[in-house]
Amino acid sequence: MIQITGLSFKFAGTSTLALGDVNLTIRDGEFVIITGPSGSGKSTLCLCMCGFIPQGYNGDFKGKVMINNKDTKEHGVFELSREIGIVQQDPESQLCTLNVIDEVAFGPENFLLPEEEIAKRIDWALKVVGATHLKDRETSTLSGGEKQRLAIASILALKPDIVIFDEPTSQLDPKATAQIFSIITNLQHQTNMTIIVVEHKLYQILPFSSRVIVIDKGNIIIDAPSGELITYHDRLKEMGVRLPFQRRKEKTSALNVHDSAETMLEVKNLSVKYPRGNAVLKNVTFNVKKGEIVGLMGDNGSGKTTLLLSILGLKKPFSGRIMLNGRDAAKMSFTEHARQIGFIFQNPNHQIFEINVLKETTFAPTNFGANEKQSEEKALKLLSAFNLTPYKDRHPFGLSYGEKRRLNLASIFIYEPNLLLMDEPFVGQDFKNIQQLMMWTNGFVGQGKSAIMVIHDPEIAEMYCNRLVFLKEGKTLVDEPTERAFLKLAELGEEEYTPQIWSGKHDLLHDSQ
Amino acid sequence: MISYMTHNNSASAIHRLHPLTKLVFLICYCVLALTLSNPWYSLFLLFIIFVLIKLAKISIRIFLRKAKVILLFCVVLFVVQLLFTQEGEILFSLIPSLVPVIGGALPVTTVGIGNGAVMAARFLSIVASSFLFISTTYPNTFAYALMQLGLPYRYGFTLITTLRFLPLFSSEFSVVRRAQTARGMKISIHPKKIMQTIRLTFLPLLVSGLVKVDALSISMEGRGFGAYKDRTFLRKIEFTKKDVATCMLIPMLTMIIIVLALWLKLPATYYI
Repeated sequence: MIQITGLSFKFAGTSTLALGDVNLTIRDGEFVIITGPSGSGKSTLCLCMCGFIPQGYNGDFKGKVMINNKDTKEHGVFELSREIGIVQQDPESQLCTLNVIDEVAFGPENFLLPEEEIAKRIDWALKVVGATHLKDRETSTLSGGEKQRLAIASILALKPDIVIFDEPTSQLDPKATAQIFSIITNLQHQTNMTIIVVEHKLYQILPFSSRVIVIDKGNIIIDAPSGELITYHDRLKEMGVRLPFQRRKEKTSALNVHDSAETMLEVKNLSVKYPRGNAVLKNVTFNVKKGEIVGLMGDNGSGKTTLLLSILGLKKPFSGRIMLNGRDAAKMSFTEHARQIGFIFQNPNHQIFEINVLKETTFAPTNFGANEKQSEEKALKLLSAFNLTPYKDRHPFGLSYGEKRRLNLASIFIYEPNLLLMDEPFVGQDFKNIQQLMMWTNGFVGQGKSAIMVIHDPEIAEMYCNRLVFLKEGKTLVDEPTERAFLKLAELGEEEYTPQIWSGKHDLLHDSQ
Repeated sequence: MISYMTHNNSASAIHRLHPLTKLVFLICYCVLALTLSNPWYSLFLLFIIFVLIKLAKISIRIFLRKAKVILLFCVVLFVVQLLFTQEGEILFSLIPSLVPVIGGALPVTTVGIGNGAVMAARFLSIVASSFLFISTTYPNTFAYALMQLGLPYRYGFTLITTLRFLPLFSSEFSVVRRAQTARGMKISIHPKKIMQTIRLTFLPLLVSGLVKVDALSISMEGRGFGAYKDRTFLRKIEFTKKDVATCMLIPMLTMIIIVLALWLKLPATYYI
């Protein structure tokens, strides 16, 4: 049982409270979802429940957190870890050993459990997450979904009473996401553990939960049985929380693109091979018109990123051709090619290099040899348009996620590219951040430019994409306008990539009652 | 260089030896290679290591292909010794005495050949023995083995997590490079520009590295890392009596060989 009374926390060096005044009791065997906007304090709350706060982080801690009647201030993190475990977002950075067995054994070994018991627990934990077949594998050879299953198993091996899943699927493709969610829901049936899931994507998991807690700005705003969530509809929408039952209302804001619109990008019979490897892309053909946003979908490893990189000119085609705005990309110089394209990466930190916001914005024009004064003037205008002017001399490191994204856009828009490529730009983001980024993207394509984005979330794709290109094992499986693409995907057995309504699960709320 | 470090999967008896035994052998072998200075002995040591590579079921051809640069360096070592050693019996001159003025220059002496052979063989045996060690010892096993023999587990896991995170950082590095290229940055080898490139690459890597380290420490501490002074190990890497015996015998044997070599006054210079 978790009992939290009067909890507030402020990280050292910050002025705002990460958690305000949290009072919360979670009873044994509950299945609780914690949701809320990005940066609202969800992860901080999780860290408090596991004892990492106050023990591992500096800051101002008030109140009391009791886990199975153990006060987190008085018991070490390792003591608490036998009561409560946490599975984090990033499948990569929470694995610390090189083999599956070593990873699952890691916790029990630290607690000096006898070997036979450890071996038993490994078998049990791997079985619960459906990963028995991975037992003899090396960690580095696993896919993202498999790594996340391993992360879950390695927490289960300690047999805690409570398991927290902190956005466990944000980095996974829809297939792996569905698997992880079914593992979590089965877990409760099989073990009667208390389960807490921090999640933005409510539509898949809501029907299985008993209670939803919504956090905003460090406070619990809503604490209600899952079935009653719909009564808070308006408040949730205002906060930017995406609800399963609000989708249809926000119809696509993508502009209608005329059939006669000019072609921005033509990819024809493109094949890409890695040295000594198999072909990653096989005869991929599709066009992007001016004014279009094209969603690029497919399992992880199906060649989406490689496709973006070859459009950018960083992966040379083995055969086939890419025409950019009517010109053969192979005949362009490196600078000409790069200037045509803006690239948004998954992690905003990966594309911020400079020591202040203004310099970051003028980074590309400087590289392209533009006039310094002119580009600085242009940068200042853009920063003001993106509401970043107050930060212009600040180090980008201290910006929030949303601000970093806006900075990414400003530093790309400054050289006026024609095609925007986005590689999973929404990972782990709430609806507000997604809306904001898409508003700018819509404005961009509205000027007769185009965008291609790798996207995993069918609901977002439905809202914003004119067309979908679906890659399977390096080949184009579907290339159709969005709605027709979903129908086709459902027919082809790729339901995970279609909005729930297509698979007949749209009435989730009523299912749960 | 990565390919030098890859673990060869074909398991042999040598692969299965305890890593510490192999390490003791490696150290003793290198000490011998460095102390023995008779060309026949050096060549014999080299021969031994090639036999062991063969026993470990590693293709000698693959080793030689990987060690191309090193082989070239051995040839250079040999030639340099040949050219600059004047001592000993002159066998012939590289420039025949019939040539006027410089005829008879660059004599090749017995000592020169001996010196060259020792140097080249010494260098090659050290490289070959290290190659054998690396390609038959899985670093993970090595770390687990040392921890079970008393290395504090914090140090052992420092090695293991480093091995785990190296490929992650290398893939992050390539993402950052792509991001830079996408915004028109070229890599320049101009000294001033190199520092700038390093700065521009280091910052994003540092930022994402810190996030990863945070997640890693939560994951490790959240599973009881550091709870007790000891921990158990499921993966038992047994240090058998045979290993104990081998680990004691090999250094003793090495000592005996060195003492014998000194006592028998094996020629200190490298006569053939």
